[in-house]
Amino acid sequence: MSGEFDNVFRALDQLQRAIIEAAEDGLRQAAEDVTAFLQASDAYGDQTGATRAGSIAFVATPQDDGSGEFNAAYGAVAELNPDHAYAEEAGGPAADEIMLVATVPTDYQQHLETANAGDHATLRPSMEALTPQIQATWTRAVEAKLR
Amino acid sequence: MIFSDPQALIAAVFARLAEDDAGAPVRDLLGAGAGSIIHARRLRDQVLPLRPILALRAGSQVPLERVLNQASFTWWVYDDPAQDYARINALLRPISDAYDRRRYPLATPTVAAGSVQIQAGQETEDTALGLLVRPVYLTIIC
Repeated sequence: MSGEFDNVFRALDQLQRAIIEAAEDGLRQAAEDVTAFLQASDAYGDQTGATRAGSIAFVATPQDDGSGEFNAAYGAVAELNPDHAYAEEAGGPAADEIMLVATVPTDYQQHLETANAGDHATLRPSMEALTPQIQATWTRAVEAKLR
Repeated sequence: MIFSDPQALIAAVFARLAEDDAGAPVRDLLGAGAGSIIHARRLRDQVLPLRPILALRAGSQVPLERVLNQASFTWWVYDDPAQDYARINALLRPISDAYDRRRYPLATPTVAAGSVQIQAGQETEDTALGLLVRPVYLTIIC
């Protein structure tokens, strides 16, 4: 009897892992879409190219906090506008979390998001616009895995 | 894909606080009543209304399914730094109440709003205007 339950629990574990992997895959695809959307924005008055080059979305998991992607974006900003490259410790996801992070590693992004009621904001408006698409992308990935 | 009537929806969201009975408690807490409720583009005017001010910025409108849209709006709640955030924070509940769909459904001849989600952002400062500010985000399914 306990062997039968072991099989059930093993199958449930496998299913859970498959769903999480599919969700990560879906979010990675969504992150690419968000990055493309951010970099295509004309909301900010980009003077050096740093904001466009540094706009990025990436997936952070307990195993990979996305620092590789972040550092690449930081490097792009540092090259184009070295006095304004900015990073701060934000903390990674908890053990049961997967995060989709959208950011721009400049010291003036917060100003852009807020000044004149967000007249030149990109992050918040982009995430508002793309949330349904993000949800659809990762839902499709999970559904495909479960078929 | 079918968009709701964006201009009608913007007008309804604005009028909810600027004109409707549901927005009266909000207007009572502003510097110049309805005169302190503006569209965000007017923040560039040289003279701003008496604080606290509400400034509306319409965001994206995204098709969800064939007949549903998700519309995003932000009310930016401004006040003078000398007031700290007390008057800003006092406005959050009345703003939320004004969009309570069970008490005050949001509808126009061309748009019927379904759910209205409301969320306050963090206290921050608009350094361009030299004012304290807190955004209130509305997400409307219509």
